[in-house]
Amino acid sequence: MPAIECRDLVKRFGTFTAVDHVSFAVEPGAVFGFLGPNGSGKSTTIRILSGLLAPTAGTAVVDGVDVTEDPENVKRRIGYMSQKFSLYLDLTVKENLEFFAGIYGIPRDHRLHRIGEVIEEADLAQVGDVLAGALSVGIRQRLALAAALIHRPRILILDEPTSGVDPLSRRRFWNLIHRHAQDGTTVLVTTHSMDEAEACSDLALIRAGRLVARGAPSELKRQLMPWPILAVTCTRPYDAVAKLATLPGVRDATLHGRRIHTIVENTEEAEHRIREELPKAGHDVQRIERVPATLEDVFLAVAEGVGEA
Amino acid sequence: MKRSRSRTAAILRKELIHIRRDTRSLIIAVLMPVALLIIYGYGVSSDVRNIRMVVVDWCRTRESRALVSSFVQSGYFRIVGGTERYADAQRMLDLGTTRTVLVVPTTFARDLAKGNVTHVQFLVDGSDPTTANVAAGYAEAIVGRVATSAVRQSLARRGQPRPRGVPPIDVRVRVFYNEELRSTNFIIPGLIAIILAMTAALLTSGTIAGERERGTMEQLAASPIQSRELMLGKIGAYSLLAAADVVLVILVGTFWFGVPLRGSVLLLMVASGIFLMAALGLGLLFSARMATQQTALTAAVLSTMVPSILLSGFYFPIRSMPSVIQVLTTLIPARYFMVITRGVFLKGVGWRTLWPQIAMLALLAAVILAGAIRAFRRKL
Repeated sequence: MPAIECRDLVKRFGTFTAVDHVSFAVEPGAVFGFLGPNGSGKSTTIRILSGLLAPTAGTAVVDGVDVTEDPENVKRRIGYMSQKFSLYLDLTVKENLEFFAGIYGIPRDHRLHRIGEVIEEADLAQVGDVLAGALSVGIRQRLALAAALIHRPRILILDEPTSGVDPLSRRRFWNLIHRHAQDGTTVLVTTHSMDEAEACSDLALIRAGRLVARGAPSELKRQLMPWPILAVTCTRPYDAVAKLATLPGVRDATLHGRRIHTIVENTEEAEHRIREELPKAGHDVQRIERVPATLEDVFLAVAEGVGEA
Repeated sequence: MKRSRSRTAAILRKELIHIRRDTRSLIIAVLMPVALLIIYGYGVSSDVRNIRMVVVDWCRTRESRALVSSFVQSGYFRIVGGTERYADAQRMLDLGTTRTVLVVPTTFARDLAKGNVTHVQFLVDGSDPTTANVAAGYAEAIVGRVATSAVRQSLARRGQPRPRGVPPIDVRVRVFYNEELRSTNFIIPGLIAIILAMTAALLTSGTIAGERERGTMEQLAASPIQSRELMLGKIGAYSLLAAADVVLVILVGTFWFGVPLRGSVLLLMVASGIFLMAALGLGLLFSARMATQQTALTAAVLSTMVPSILLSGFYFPIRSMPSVIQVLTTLIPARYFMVITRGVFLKGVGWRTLWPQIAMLALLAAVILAGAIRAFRRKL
């Protein structure tokens, strides 16, 4: 049985359809990434799965419980971490954890032990008596995760957990996530960060409320990027992007650092055309090489609808 | 249910930590009642004493001096000047150096001795009608008493023991409950209601809106906590704080201002508890309904504090309000609580007399709390 399964999920706000017939299933122990631009409906979907929002139509079953029928039961079974840091800044790390231990009804005699465990896991022992408000963003994220895990949920739902966190803290955070996934916790995470997406075992791409692609990161790259990518190095690359995008045989061009990732239909033809056209516009072409697609290429292609022929 | 208790207790403990670490709440909880006690205990007093008076004595006799001195001895008047010229006295009234002027005509002593009708003039600054009324009333009473005894004396001298024209009825007034008619005795018991309403509104109004502004409401919403548990936990924590305020006001009221506490302290505490539920419930209701702490605070103050002061009978008697407003006051919890505190403090009455007020208070509290829990449920 899948840990999370939704069928034809629809959520409308007035005339606006935020989630449009979304169906997917998440196997137990998966780290399932929900990838999409802002406003694509990913947060709405996970709010439905967390029992926070009732769907307009469709079904969602989380850990064997129907979200529409028994949202309270769903809430007991999941750990939820929202986009914004949502613990109490005027409470210490331990006080915050004690609070959530109480809220999730962990028996008193067991509480201290459990708090000790999550503090150890999240490496918070040194800041146990520090006010949450005095912690760095990275440590706050780990605290929020520890709070979400206090009642040993089998499903963990994270809404853009590491936005605004430095790469080192992000790595530590994800190590924690992977450890829990390895122990059988199912993780559903929304993100628009490519690092985070690469770390997922499964990805679903959502655009304008619709699920547009599904698969492991490597599959997605193959599936969604049937065209080769040429990395073009030239002078004044920012101006060159616009020029490149208009060339026949070029589907899209985006700037990655100083190089322009150019999605083309045919490698030889395109390279020839680029070497011909760019100097006419005053750009010296220094180098053109074929590069493998990154998730970011895929993401941008999907977000801009390049994948659609 | 055990889990439900655990969740409520968790909220309660968390709120107590918030209160302890939030200097704003603590200042509101401690300084506010003290400030109100000082303002109302000393500042707002409807007792009119030491009214400034200027004397224009054209008679200059033993009798006229006796009249002036009975004004002074009454304690209600204080002489701030004397003059021969009427225009000077009027000027002092204009300038506000005095509020009243007593004018004794030259013929005063002579007419009094003969038993003729005599006049004294009493000028009052009417710009403050309350003081003016009281001053005029006192003046009439004092002059009346002096006149009566003068007539008695003069008749007695002529050997006529049973005077006609002097009223045979002598009213002996005995004041019950607040024997010295001190307005502090009336104000301070009522002040308990105002202080509780104020603290409750100020402390609770921010709490739900605040959770929403900080994003913690989302985390609570995603947890199994129920609206009822969240509400009870918060009310519990703020009740402890407010109960401390009740004790503070009772202690300061009885020991510092000397207000008699004649009834049962237990009854007072129980009634305070019920009133608190209503006041805290109202604060939470607004906090749940309003989007920001700021609007919630404004709404809570306007809906709890203002009616508690104006429509509860705290200062303005309900019976002299227009009938529409009188009907409106039946919905103000402070109105019932005011009767209870005054009854317990001054009259020493108990459950048997006050049960209708207690019942109404409990009913209002129940309705408000139910409304607050409902408003909450929609937010969770």
